[in-house]
Amino acid sequence: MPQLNTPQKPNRFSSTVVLIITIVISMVLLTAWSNEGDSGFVHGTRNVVATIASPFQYVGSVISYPFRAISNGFTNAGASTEDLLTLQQENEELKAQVAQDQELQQENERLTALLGISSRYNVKTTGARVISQSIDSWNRTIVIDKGSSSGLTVGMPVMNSSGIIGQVESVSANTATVRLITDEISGVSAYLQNSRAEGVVNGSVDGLLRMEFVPSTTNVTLGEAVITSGMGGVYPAGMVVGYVSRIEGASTDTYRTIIVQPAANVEANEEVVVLIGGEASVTVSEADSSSAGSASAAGATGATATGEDTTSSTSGSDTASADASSSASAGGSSGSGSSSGSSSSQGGE
Amino acid sequence: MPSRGNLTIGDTGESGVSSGRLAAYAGVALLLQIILAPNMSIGGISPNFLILALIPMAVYGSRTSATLWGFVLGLLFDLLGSGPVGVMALVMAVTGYAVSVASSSAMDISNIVSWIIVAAVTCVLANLAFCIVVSILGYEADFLGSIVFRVIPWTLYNIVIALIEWPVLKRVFDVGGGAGYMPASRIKF
Repeated sequence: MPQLNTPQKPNRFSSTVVLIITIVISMVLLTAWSNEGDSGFVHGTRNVVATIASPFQYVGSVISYPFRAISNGFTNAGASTEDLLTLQQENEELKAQVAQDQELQQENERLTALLGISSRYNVKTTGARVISQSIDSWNRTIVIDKGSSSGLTVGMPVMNSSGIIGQVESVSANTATVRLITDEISGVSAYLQNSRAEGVVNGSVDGLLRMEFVPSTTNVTLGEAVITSGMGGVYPAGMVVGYVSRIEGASTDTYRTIIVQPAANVEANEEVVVLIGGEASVTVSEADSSSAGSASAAGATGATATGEDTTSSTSGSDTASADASSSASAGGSSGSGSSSGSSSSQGGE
Repeated sequence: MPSRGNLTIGDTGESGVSSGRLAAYAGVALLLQIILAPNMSIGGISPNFLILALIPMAVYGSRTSATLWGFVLGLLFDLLGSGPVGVMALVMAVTGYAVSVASSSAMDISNIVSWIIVAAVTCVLANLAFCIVVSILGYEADFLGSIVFRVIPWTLYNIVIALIEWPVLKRVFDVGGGAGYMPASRIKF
């Protein structure tokens, strides 16, 4: 009936108009996000949304904890069958109490190791817990439970006890998003410890770290440490990024690409530390208050840590190159990377 | 045949599903995306509950609401994530519109096979569109790598989630049931 078909026309028209409007708004938002600074409207909105979402992320973290524990259990069980059987018998005898004690002990060890970073690198740090990861598949990021209220700002380097894992990309009041070094748009200025070749270690879509354009004349050895150079102004010099695991390209090529095995388990962390300044003191979160005493002591005694100490404590015998980094080890944590310029600030570190 | 009793025209325009039901469905999908998706990451690949929710919303809602829901969910996805803001809003708005248009012709999700096919095709196209946009903008350097390491695994992961979602879909939209909702675009006045 013609009179009943009439209402459909404006609907079809309006749906097309709505589509065009949404496309225009999307492009305006995209343009604004790309051009504005960290204090811009879109970034501010994102921070507000992050604040609102943080309780839900906590819930997700709590819910997923048993599953992560099971996953870790499977990983650990790979050691040997005998060990597994022994552990199972012990677990039967000691049951929940032992499990709880072990968990607390492991946590204590992790936190102690994290707090030791302060003394090693002569920087002010704050501990944080990982509460979530990126909700999408396009960004390798994590969300930590510290934000601007804890003094975090964009660009601060983030580490675990083994090495750097990324830098703060955006902060809300109580949370911060950390872009991992394995992300495609991340980059870390670094050099090879023995051969002294410098370059930028980039993340990639497949999750590997690559150091490209290393001259073929450079004598690179497998297992050689890759150290931050501090040139980018974000990561302090002298931190271990990883170790050479593969060299791509023929010796006849002008340049070769080095595949770097990260020193730290970049994507599976429960606690991390954020390097928030160059002072030789340690800031400990409320949750970590039980370790505060030892942390302060560690920070105080570590105030004179040198580059040599840094390298020797992280990579054992690698001491030759640390001298170049010692002078810069305290200063580079005030990264200039803005979230809006995340591609540039991280890509160019 | 769909029950005319389910078609609350006054409430939803040309839609066969009430706005409240669509909002609730979107809300649950959003919660899942915030709470569960990050913890379901496998090799850096997380499922996208929002785009899987958008498909039935586009099929059983009006074309306008499909576009708007796509935009809103995409924008929230952008704001909750760490990539450029506006890309997923753009992609999902277009996706919602396109699915709604497609559902007016041959496409339907009345059985699990067609649902999986539609979900897979939608995920591939949406992710490709996302990949193209971010590549044009310079945020993605390795297009081929993104296809291999992101689009394909992500689509496969979403297909698994779509299989799990099917019973929920049947219940919420009464898909394939005797009193099922009719795709809005097929409602004849």
